[in-house]
Amino acid sequence: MMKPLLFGTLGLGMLAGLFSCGKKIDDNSPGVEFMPDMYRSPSLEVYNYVVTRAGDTIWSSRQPVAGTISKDHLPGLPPSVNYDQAATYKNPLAGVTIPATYDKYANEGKELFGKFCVHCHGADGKGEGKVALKMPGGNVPSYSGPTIKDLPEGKIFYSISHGKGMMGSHAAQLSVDECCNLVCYVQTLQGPKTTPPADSVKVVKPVR
Amino acid sequence: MSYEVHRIHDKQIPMSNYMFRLPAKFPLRNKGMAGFSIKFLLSFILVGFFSFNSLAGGDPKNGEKLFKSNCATCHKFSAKLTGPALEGVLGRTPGGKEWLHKWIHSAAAMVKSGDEHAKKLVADNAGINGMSEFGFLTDPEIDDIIEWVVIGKDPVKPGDAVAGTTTDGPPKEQAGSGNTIYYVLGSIVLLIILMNVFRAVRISLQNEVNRKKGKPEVEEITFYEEAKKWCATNRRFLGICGIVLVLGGTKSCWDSCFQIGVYAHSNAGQYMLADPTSAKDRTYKPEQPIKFSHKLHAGDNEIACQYCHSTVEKSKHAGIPTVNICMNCHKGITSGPVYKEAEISKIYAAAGFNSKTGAYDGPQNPIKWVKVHNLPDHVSFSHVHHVVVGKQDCANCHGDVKKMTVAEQVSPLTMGWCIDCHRKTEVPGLVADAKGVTVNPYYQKLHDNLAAKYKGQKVKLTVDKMGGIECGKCHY
Repeated sequence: MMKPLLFGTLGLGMLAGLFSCGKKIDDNSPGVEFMPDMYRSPSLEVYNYVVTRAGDTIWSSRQPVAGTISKDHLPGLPPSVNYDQAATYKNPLAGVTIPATYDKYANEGKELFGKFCVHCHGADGKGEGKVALKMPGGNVPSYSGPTIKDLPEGKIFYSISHGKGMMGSHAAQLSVDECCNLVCYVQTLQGPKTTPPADSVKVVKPVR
Repeated sequence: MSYEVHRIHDKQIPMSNYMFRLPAKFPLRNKGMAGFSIKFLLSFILVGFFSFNSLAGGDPKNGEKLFKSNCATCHKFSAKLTGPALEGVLGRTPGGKEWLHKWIHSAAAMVKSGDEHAKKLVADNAGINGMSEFGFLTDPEIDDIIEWVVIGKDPVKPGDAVAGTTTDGPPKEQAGSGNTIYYVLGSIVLLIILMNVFRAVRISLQNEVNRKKGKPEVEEITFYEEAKKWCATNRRFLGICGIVLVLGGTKSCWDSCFQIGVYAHSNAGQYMLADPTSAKDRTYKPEQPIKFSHKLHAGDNEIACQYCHSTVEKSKHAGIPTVNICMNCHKGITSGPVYKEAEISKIYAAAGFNSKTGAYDGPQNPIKWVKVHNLPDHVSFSHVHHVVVGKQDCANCHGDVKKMTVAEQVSPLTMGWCIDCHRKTEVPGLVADAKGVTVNPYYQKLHDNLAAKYKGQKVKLTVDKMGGIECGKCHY
């Protein structure tokens, strides 16, 4: 009596084993990994978090200590400076007298512009980017338009790094050097100024 | 119509004409104007002609145009954007039109002059760096804008009004088929039990009939013996069944072998050719906490990959954008084409942003994005080397992300796949390649050395020829 039962269970078990190897449809699963602990590392990796025994979530991306100065980068505007005061600050990269060097900065700025600005401000800075059309009001001011045609470089820098109006701060994405390059390029898009720029008083940092 | 006429009109009947024209739109906040009848009639008789003349002069059509190109970036009618909502602005401005003229021309100068209302406005809308100066607008132009503001409304966007017109709707739920096999096996077990029960019933009934007819009882054989007898008579059928079962099982085992390692398309890079139902073309596309569509952002809106993954050219990691980068656009764009406010409000919850007041005053909770492209710890891969030095396009490894609604891993990211590419990819020297990849003088030295070494032979400088498949390059 035991024999048939044993064989029956064995046979069924084997079949179940065979079929259970079959594929499962689950997009949330990365598949069977050879060394799971190498893929899902117990260490705290970038852009990840761990949950402690106490139940707290600890993220690997943390704010740097207050007052941290990044290495190899120009210092930005002093923290106390507001939008209006920024007008008196001068772009250190624009201080060069050799036009070729200025063009180099502007070209670097153009490349950055294509990645960081073009979807709102449009390729020619007229504010006709695809995202701008979806913004409330459906427009972004044109660089060569009357509102910001004569915007001083300090204010352009401030707008990029601190944000202005609907535009948010891009300091997380762009270093100060890159912002300065962008300012050079934005100035080429502004076209000739209607009034001569006011004499700049302070310089962020001497030219590199 | 001249500016002088305006001033006369503004002084004598500051707002009553608007009330007369548009009583519903105009809020009766100004109590002095609420009982307007006598005052209005009087002034109407006095300068009635001028007042209507000046209204005709404020051309709302021109005002609309000017409003859209100068004001709409920061102002809406019904809700606060960067600046306050403009509905009923005339009613709550103490100085009326004249004050607004000055304010629009130079807000900063108004604050400097110590105007109380100007100071209050700046204090109420703190953190927006004040209003831009519109000195280039002429007085009649400002009148046009005010006229438009009085009668204007927020534009209704075509996407908001008609729901469900978009082509790509929410992704459908996939039917779970993982449990079917257990149902099949369960029903087989149930069938065997039922067979036993019915057999016992059948035998006892047969015995009952036989007893009544006086026939001898059915001789007792076990279930096993009966099954054996049945098997002996149906050998061919059983054999075929066995073969089918074993082959089916083997096939499913074979398929499941492809699941070992990470999922990837069999033809990585050619995203659209892949068959999502085939085990070989299965990809890892986990559900993310926010239904973010790369197709909408990178495809339709043409946002560069580097805008959000901004560290790709500076660091080992391409980077997952922080919420402030989402907010750069979504401060203004509050409704998406498919999920409307539902998904975008998750960004606001993460950023602690109050979309009604436009202030970041709530608690902040980082979004727990699920990492899609995962490399084991013993592999060192650097994005900056591949993107900046190697000039590789994002799509070479990540597939046509611009067509993906849900981000997925199209390349297997296995060692074989890495090495394959390193063997195939040619390094450009001073001569640009077919794709017009920028030349790199540094590699020209290697080109020259190779040409000197293999004189007369045609040699390609691929990545593996300059140490691209050395163990220590990726495993150290």
